[in-house]
Amino acid sequence: MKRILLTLGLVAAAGLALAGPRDNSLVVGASQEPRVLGDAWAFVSSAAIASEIENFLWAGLEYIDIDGNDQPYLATEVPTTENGRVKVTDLGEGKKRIDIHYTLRDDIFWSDGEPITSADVAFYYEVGKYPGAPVQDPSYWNRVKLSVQDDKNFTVSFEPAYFYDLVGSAIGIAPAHVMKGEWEKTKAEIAKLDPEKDAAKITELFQGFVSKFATPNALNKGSMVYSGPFVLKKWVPGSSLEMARNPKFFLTPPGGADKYVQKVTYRFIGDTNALLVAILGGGIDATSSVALTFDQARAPQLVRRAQGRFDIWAVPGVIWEHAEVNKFANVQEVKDLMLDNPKTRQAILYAMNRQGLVDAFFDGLQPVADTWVHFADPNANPNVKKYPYDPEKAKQLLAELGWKDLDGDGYLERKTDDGRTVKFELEYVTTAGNRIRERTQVFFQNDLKKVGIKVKINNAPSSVVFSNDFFSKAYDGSWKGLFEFAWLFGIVDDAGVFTCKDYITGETYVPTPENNYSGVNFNWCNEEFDRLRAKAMIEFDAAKRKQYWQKMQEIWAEELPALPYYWRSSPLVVKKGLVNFVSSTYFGSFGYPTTNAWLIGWAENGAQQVFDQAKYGISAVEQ
Amino acid sequence: MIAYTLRRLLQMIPLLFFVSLAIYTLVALQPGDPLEGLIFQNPHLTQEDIAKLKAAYGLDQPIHIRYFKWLGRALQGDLGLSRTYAQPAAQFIYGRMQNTLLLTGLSFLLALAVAIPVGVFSAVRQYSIADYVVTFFSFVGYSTPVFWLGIMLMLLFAVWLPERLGRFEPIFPAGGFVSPGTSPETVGWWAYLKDRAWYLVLPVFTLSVLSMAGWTRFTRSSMLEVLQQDYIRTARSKGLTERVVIYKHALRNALIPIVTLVGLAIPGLFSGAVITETIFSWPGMGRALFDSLLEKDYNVAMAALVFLAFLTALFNLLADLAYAVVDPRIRYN
Repeated sequence: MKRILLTLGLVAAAGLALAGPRDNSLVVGASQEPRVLGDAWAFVSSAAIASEIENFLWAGLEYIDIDGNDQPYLATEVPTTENGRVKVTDLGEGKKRIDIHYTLRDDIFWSDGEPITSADVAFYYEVGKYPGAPVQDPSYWNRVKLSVQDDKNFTVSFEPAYFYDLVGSAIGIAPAHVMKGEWEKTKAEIAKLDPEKDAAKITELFQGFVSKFATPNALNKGSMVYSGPFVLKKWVPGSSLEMARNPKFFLTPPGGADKYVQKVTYRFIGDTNALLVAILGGGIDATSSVALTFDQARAPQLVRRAQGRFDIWAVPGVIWEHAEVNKFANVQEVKDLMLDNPKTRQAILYAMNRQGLVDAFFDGLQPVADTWVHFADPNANPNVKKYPYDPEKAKQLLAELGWKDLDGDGYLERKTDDGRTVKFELEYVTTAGNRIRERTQVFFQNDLKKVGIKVKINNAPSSVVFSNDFFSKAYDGSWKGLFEFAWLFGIVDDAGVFTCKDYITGETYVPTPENNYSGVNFNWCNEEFDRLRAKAMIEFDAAKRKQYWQKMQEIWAEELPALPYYWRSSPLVVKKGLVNFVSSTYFGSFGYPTTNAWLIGWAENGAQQVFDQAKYGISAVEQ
Repeated sequence: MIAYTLRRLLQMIPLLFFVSLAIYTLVALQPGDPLEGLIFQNPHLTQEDIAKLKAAYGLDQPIHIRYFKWLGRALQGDLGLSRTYAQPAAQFIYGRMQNTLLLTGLSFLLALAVAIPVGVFSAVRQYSIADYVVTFFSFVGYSTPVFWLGIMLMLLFAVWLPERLGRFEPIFPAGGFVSPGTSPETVGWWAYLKDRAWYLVLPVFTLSVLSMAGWTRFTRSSMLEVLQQDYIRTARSKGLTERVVIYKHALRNALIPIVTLVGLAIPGLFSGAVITETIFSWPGMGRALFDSLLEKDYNVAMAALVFLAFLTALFNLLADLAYAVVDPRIRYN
């Protein structure tokens, strides 16, 4: 029996033996699997792993390059005011309109040979704009308009327009010649329903329409066509997805496409420990951006075996680990601890040894954050006020606020205006079961104890702490102190998280009963910050916008509406010799190593290195 | 017997109604709804946008209305669309069920094939060295966490042994259920089946260890109890061979409690094994159910849970009927 099993093993393993440079292929290991691919409108899903794989299969009008700049893709050039393709119109009352003129390249084709034209953009627009479409970003669809001039020229307009409308592709694209027939049937079905009463049924019809083209079954049947450097060959749900080079793709990498990988396979291994074992076993050439945890990528078993076989990189990402602070003074605990006073928040941050934390937990590979703006963002202000670990400074600030250890128990107390004695006991909430966060809590609990602040940990599972009744109801005291979690700030972040009043729309983002607990600003209202943001939002001159943005960061760092901890880094494990499978903070908006998929190849097969990962990440092997 | 069976089948209707109501309520009462993540991530959503999104996903109505709408459609055979997979929930469950049955069915058969003979062997040689060895390994198997065993087996066969043997390919793969690019069309049926078998070895073994150990212990104790009965002494005194005494008289009686145990384990075959499926990246029911609950994909969760409730009721009935088959003293009226 043993012999039979071993023989079976050898027979099947022969397939793996050919992987990598030997047959010019690539196997990527991922811990998540997309549910659908090519759901251009995100009616079903917009998962990161889907976006990463879609980079192989479909091209947009533009893409964000490794340095965070716009580059043309299907379009002939990136529209700007300088090249006359962007027209800005001032509408008064702090509102503007922009018209963005695109021209499609002449040499672009779908994988079935049909040319890519303005009709494909118009089709995308028609579906997304259709009444009842379950779009996840209604603000975009409410503001966008399209006018088509001819097969290759069209104009996308936004009213009111915001600066981020010029970042990346202004509109999507979908193959009209393939999808139109099914769309007409779907429209006929929708027409029979009442949009008010049958909203859920209409959503199902939209999702059903997408499912005809985007599910594994549909894609395996060849129901979809591709515009990217690869085409999908086979998707075995729960196991793997194979792609082969698209002969109709219009870009040729240096030296010719045959020198670069011809076949890409994604292997989906949900358990990250099992994924680590698969990497150690040699069956994986590179990890996806959704793969190992940071700790697993630095596991001694992997690092020890990495020499000469793998590079392990830590790439600073856009996930901002931080603690929100409840600043609603109507909550008794907040008032007692004066958490609405910037001085209190400054004292807490001075008392937290954030550099010590990232050194101890992450070998210093996850950089300490100064504000909510990433240091790799072109608008980052490196000169903002910083809060290095300084417990003496923290004690001094707390003393200025009237805190003293009155009873000699090592913790601070103060007399309130109404004659009560309150102890500095700070609630600290985070997602239970997240080991890093729980360890961070204990680390900071110890730091804060040194300055006389007692930390009371109050964790619950993420489904509980992020439920509306908990997360959004800080006004009612659902949480009363710090709440650690992470925001993801892409290159188009508009500081909406810290905006109190939006001077363009008139909306308020402080969750109170008055606005039905809408928004995520836990009561930090700085008029200057909000007014600067309103200006920046409609400023299409990058240099001017940067000035507003930098001033906003100064205000933010002084007032500290939240406590910035660190930027999470994404681990990337790449076999030696594989080139251009690289990541950076903003590559493809969120650091996807597949953004320039046509350049990925093996050096020994003649693929030329275009990007150097060392410029965009830190090696974890040399640490 | 027929009247009894029909009566039990009819009783299942109200039972399933209340079970489905309870499941729907519990699933819907989970903290949060499917849109919360979306709402938090997009501060631009206005109250009107949020209300529209809630209506679009049918979340604007009270739980009881949602339940009766679901029930109405379910009775017509429409279990709804999976929100996250964009395919009919029933179709999705069916696909996952096939994978799960292959894994759990094989591990069930393996566990049964090992546990009963080993349990009998251990019982008839009570307090022998062989009995102590079986008892020792049963306890080891019973107390070994599945997640640990799975990872260790993967490390052993996919990393350590290949390294020691100086080969780069794994002896058994670290997860998955078929090699990329392998299908009957590309490599032929025989090679395809061999490949699937190669992927099945570790998860089937991992999953069967716990039941193997438990059922071995159970068979042993059941046999020991039977072997002390008077009718066994009588059988021996009649001069029957030991083989006939053990297999015809003792085992048949010892099987009665084992049938109950095994019968009740059958619904578990359909529900999958979350941990084993997750570790070995096996796309089965366990993972589907777990993911659907986490992602609040209500239609998939409901379809899976109600189907499992139905199977549990059905196999309870079958186990009861099986008593009558293995024990002639039991008759249902």
